[in-house]
Amino acid sequence: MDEAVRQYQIDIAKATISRRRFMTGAAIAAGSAALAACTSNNVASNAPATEAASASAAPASAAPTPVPSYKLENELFLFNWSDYFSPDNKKTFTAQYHLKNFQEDTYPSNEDMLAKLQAGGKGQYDIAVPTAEFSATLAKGGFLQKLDKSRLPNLKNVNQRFLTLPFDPNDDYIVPKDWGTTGIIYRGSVKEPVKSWADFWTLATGKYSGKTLVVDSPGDVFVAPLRMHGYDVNTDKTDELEVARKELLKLRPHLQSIDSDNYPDTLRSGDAVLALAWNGTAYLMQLEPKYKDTGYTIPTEGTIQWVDTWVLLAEAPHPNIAYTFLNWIQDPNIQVIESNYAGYASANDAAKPLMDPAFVKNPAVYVPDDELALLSVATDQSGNKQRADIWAEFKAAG
Amino acid sequence: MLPASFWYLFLLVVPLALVVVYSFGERGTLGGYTPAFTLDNYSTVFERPAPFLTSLWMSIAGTILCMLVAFPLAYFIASRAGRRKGLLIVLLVIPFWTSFLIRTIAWLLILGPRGVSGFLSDTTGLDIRLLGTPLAILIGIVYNYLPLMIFPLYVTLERLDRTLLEASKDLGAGRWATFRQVTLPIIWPGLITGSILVFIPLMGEYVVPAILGLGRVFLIGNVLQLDFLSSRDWPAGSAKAVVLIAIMLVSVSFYVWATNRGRRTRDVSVL
Repeated sequence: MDEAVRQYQIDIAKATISRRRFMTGAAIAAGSAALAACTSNNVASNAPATEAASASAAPASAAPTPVPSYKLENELFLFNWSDYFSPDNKKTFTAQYHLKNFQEDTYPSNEDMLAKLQAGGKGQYDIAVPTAEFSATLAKGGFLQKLDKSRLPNLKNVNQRFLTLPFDPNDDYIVPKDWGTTGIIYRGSVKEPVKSWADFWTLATGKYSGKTLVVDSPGDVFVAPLRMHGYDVNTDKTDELEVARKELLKLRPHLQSIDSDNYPDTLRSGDAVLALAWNGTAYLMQLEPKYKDTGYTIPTEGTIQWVDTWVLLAEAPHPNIAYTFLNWIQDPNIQVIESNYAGYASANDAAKPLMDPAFVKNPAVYVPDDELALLSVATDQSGNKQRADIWAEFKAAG
Repeated sequence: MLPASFWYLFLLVVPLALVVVYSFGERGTLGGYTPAFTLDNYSTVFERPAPFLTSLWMSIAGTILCMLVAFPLAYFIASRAGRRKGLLIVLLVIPFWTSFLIRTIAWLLILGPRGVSGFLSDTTGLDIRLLGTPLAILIGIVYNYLPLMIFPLYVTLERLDRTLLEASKDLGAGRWATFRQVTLPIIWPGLITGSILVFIPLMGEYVVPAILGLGRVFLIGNVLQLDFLSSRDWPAGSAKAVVLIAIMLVSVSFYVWATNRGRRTRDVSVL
């Protein structure tokens, strides 16, 4: 984290005009006035850029206390997963803030996003949507801006537990978006109890051998054997990972597939009836009459929750409108539209009462309160050589 | 002279040298590469040779299958198709106007539970599955790489002088003797070109196993993808890439040497 702060300071030292404007805003820290300022300034969005530049030249200590002046840009560049931002909301925001260009590009994985940011520079986008543990990685690499919370009053609508994640305990970098879990999906035809990872292993290596799949994602698959033996999901202990390795190799010959792209169809066809996978798939299947008896279990040994997060990129070309967006998107009324569109649980608690009660009560969407204790947060383990090695062995084992 | 060597340097030598340099480095904290000197990346390659061996046998099998399918087809087009020759060539090419990815995904549907394997299971009552098996990969491979074999073969067959075959027949050679002693030596260069064209990209094949293998068939291309994108461990991936290049250099050189040697020493015999 220190490294990130240092990087941030270096960035400030090299800052361009737009960045200095941001810095002035941070120095003023005018609290709740921020949103008002954003909207009122919007009217005067044609004000010359020099105004803001000269304001920023004033020393921070002498800055006038009240209304900070942010000149809203008329462009916003968003880098997002596909189908993960409501087109209706996009239209509303574009109209409300008179955007001339709301650019949205998509990526298929966190790694792909990082690769593009590394290759094309940090100034390509304003906002990106990495998974939380990956945001921590990005912050370490100096890809993110520290957030000025005074400009995000709507963060009060967000559930506290997403603002104190282990890799960003003070929530310096992230605005939580949607969240979900890794668990067990089973077709209605599975009548045996599926309550735990141990059940999953027994059924997968027994009755449903050849009809079980796992997602092609080491971060999720490692969770099951580790929790089954009561180990921390983020462990890097050699002997614990060795135990996980043995369990995984035991499971391997019984798997129908190791696949993240096509697995919902595999479950629909019945080629696999049991899956270590993500809750969103179970929810989407339940919406179809034919598969409405699809079940989803949070295993009793515990599992991981994932959280996707809005982040502000280090050299965002349009920081002011980006702040406005990050605050606007946490408005409960806007958030409801988001959840209806994406079908995931929102980190925004204030939006929950506005949603369809069946949606909120569905364990394939929102984890029931009494099971929240079963969830832990995964940190980015992609640098662990032993894990990488076990995963390669797991995949290669016939 | 200068532009040619310039391109050669920047498009081949420099990237290759980078891969070699990276292969001795270490993974950076954010992934990628940090300068270092270690042989660990190489030692892990030899601890887990399975993907290399799978790639090797599938590439060899794929090349042979391509040959077996391509030869009769190329022979037919070159010698029997008559006026329809041009049309047949165009028909062969047309599917390749579509993206490689889409054609492979199409096979996912064809071989899947709602396609051939579903049909076979229903008719035989057995639980037959094609996806996720080496057979599915081989089908995908032969389909995708077939033209690379057909065209070199077609070009050589097209130039085959039919009167030589008649002469062979007149001199008392049977069909097999004619094929072995007249046709084969003439189409030999096409066969070698075709099999090298198929074999080399096959060794690095990633898309077909990724889609039709359901994550259960793990080739060297999939290992590289895992190293570079998932673990973001460029040095480990680079080391494997270097080993792969070495394997291909050795196997292709051996292949060319062995086939040329065979050709030089062949004598004509009536048998």
